[in-house]
Amino acid sequence: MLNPERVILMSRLAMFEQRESRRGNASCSFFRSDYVGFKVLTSILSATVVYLIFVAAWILYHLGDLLQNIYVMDILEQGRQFLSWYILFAGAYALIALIVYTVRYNRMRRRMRAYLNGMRRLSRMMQEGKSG
Amino acid sequence: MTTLLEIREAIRNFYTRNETWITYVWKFLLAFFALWLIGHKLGYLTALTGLPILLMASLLCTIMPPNFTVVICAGFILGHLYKLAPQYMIVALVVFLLMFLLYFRFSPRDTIAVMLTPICVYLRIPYVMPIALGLLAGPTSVVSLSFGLIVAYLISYISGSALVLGSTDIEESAAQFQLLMTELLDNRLMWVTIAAFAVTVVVVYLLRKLPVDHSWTIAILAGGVTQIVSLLIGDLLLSTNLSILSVLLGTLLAVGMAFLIEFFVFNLDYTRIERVQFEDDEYYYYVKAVPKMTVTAPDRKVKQISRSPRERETAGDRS
Repeated sequence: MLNPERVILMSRLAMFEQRESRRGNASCSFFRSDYVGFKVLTSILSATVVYLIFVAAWILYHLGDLLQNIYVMDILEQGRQFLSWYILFAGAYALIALIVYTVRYNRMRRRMRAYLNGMRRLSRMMQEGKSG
Repeated sequence: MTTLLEIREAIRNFYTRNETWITYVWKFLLAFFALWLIGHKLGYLTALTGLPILLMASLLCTIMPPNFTVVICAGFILGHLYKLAPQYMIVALVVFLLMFLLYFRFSPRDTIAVMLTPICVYLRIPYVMPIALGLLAGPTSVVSLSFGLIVAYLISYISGSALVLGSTDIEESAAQFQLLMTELLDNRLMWVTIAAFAVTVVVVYLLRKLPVDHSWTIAILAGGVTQIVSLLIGDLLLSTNLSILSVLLGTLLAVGMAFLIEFFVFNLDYTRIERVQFEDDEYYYYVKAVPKMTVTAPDRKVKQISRSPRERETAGDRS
């Protein structure tokens, strides 16, 4: 005999498992610090690549002026400016990544807690079904 | 009105029954049209404009996730631009890398907006995108919408202007790169459009989330007005020579299409149909779950209780 309440609960739990396996739920596999730290590191890597692209585009854009002034310009000073802009850019991007991934991790944990509660409820229903 | 509701129910039932095939078909058609459009607007590399290659690429996009279609379209654009001049390909590559490395790490579901925006610009219905994204997505879609507009203006500029073909001389190549970057960065119409669309997306999103009756209708109408006002203010401030008539007509059309979207999408979220299968000791279960869209009902506060005129007359007769 079908128990509609149990079917609905099992359906919701199965949908959760399917969805979370597609998302790669990290809250089961990683501590918050490990997950967020790894994501921030990869974000800094992305920011570094993007910054290098910006610098290359800037050089190409100002190539004429650079070729004319290469012997009179202060290359060290220019390098210091690039470095300070990089630190600002990578720092800001890392901060955004920290906030985004911390919020995401907390949401994943809440969903996982709801899932575990659902599993406990299902287990109780199954036991009641066997004993009743 | 009843006929329209019946048509909607029929379409909804048809979609629910054939959701898998419909998804494959629309992904194929979208990919094919986008790749054909790229070949039509650019078309410098003839190897990428032939029907067999378009069909093969579209078939591949059909079975892969939607983000793959965006990557394929980006690849086609870079291929055409490389044939024209490597320095133009570099400009497009910079835009795509910015998009993929900076933004889509956080929000990979928005990539489809980057593809739809240039298509809408080509079909002369760009004003529908911000209202539709405000209704169906969220405020973060502003970023993907902006990238879509930049790609659209880049392609329009390259295909529309008489560009000198690439040179092997590095200084001349750098000058051509500089020219294209300057045209892109100094394009006031593009930046005004991006700003106006961003404001529209946010306004539509905030209004449709309100717990009031007809929040979607209010959001659509407010979005249309916001769009017109923002574009006109931008035109006044930066002298972009925007055609006011095209803005008004385009926005009217966009509002009409948004009402159509509301009519079909409002009560049912087509994109989140889920299929699961599981078993217990007695049965195997094959479940198809079709989610409903719920709207927070407004709290009704009773402020005054009054009798109807007839009750008042009856009470008056009795007294």
